[in-house]
Amino acid sequence: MEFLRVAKVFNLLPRVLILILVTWLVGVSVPCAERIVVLPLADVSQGDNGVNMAFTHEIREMLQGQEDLDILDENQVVQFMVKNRIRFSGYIDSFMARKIGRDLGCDLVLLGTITEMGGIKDPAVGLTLSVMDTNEGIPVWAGTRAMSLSETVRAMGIGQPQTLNDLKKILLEDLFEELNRKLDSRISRAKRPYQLVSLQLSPEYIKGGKLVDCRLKIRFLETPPERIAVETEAGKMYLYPDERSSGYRGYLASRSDEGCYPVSLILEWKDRPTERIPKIAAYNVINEAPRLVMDVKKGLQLGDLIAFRDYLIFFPKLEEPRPLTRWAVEINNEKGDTIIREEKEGNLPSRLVWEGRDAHKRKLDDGFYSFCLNVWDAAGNHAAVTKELALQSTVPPVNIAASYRQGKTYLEIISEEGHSDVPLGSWTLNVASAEGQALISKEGHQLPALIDLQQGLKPDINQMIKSVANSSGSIYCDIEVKDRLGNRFRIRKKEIQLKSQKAVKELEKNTSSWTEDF
Amino acid sequence: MNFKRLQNSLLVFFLITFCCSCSMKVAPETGGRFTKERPSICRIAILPFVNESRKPEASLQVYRIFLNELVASGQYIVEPEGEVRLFLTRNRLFPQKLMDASIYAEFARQLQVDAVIRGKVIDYDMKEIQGSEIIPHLTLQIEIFEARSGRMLLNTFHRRNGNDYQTTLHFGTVKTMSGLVARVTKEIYEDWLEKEIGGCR
Repeated sequence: MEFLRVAKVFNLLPRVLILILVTWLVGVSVPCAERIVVLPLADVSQGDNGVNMAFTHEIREMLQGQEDLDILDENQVVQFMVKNRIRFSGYIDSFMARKIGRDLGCDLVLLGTITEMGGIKDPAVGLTLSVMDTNEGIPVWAGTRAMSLSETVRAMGIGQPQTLNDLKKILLEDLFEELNRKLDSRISRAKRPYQLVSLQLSPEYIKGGKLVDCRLKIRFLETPPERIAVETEAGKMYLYPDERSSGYRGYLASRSDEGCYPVSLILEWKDRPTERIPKIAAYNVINEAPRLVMDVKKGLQLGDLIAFRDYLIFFPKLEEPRPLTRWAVEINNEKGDTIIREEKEGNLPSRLVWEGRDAHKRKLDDGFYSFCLNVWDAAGNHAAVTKELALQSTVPPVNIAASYRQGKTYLEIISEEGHSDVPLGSWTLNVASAEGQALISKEGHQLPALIDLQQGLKPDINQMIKSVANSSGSIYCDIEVKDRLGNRFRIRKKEIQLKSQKAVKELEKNTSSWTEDF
Repeated sequence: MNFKRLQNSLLVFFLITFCCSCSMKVAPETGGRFTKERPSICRIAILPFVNESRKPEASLQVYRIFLNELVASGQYIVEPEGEVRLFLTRNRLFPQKLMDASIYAEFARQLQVDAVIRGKVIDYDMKEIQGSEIIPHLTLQIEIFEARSGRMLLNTFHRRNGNDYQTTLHFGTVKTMSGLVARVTKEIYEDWLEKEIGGCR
């Protein structure tokens, strides 16, 4: 008896194994289906809060026939809505979509609104549906269809919809066909027998006609495809297995014209149709040098020259933005010696500041300098822009003295030495007597300048100066000169001895021309 | 000979009809202050539409279709209607109320959207033409506001009739309001994309 029982078990064993295998296969296919919740459809034709349960039911029935969809039971949906107090239809928020996903174990939520239904003269149906992803809580698909009986004219009237139900059927079939395409792409992503790690094109930016190195990293669940290729507009190029990187590699000849060229991946399987993964990487051909421009602020533009006192701010910019590999700044003095050279990798900074110092942060002497910015783009094209600069942190000194011409006494202000490229801003002169009484106050914008000590003065001041001159006394001058960069030069209380009228005449007799008192 | 003449006449007829249908294309009128650098608009929130038509159901119908068509375009990440309604309820706002820039900034903060879209249904009607034929008429005004600054980026005004799409004979005429709303929405966002405003690039 015992022997027979054991024999029976052995007879059943293959059948049990087959049953387990079938169950396992079925079990494997089930997770591929996406679970979807169909929420009651809103019906605008019944007012703002209208709900159409009958149409919702029809949609559920149509979706039941879809292979890749697992429709959640209607009662569970209603219970969830009651529990979560969802008293509206046609929309939900992201949180509720995620809650539906978590509580009901669903991937998708179908929402919809009947925008039109019925009509006397020309019955019509309008429907807008959307599907929300319960992981992210955002709409991932939406579609709108509408149709009236008179709008659908079929040849010879064959298959011509006669009733609203016929219209509904056509609309739903059309909408679900589109929905299926969307779901197919989601599911096929899950079913892929490979993991595409990366397709690296190097360099990404290149001059036309040069070779692009393609390195593919891809992992396969089962047997790899027979051949793997990358494809561009120019054609297909097969990759070879690269043992060093445990991936695939090949070289692609870049196009000669400038532009961005997408690259697609082609997997030629032995037992499956060839798969094309479009536009997964791209390379850019750049033949022309980048157009570099540079604005300079805080300086004074004098023709081609930019004069400055404290610092300059440079704003470099590419007219057409493109990635740069490096940039370098070079500042040279007027002899051509390099004062500063700095090179950095990457893109340009938004601004550069130079305070007129050398590489050791020492303040440089006044003079002429050139500031040159060089850039190299990712394809190796070079561009440069140079600005000629004048550093001027002082005003050339000025002097003031008495000057005698044709019997008259003047005060003369002149630049004492050197020539500055920076124009004079203004000068101010204050003259006082030995007792400290203010005599003259003048302003001007040009040098040299002559100030008449006899004319244009108030009579009492004029009298006072005359008496100082007659007694060969002195006057005291304060002078301040400012250039257009803001540099200043000051002389405080400079004593100037005046000559009497008699002494002036004698002096003029002795000299054929006037003599300066410097 | 006669057959050839008939063939030529038919060809001319179809050519004229085709040209007429092409010339009837009405583009949306979009205005705004465009700068050279277009703002990046990918994530958007659409406020419920204001109804200025005589049909009470117009705003909801147009709003739902407009929102779904923007989702269907694949060019934008559209905040679900529920999020927008929740925001309005939370802040006690009515869509009809003219919102100031601070509200849009709050939208940007809470929903992380790049832009807020406001719409108005100006004309929405089914009109009888040529005896018995009834065709829809729709006029929409749509405004896009940059969420962070509250600045209005553009204002689109679009008016369409169902028979604007008529090609030959009665073919192509849109006879449902929902169909017309979907077509108008598509034309509006295609116009925006053409002007390089918006789109998840």
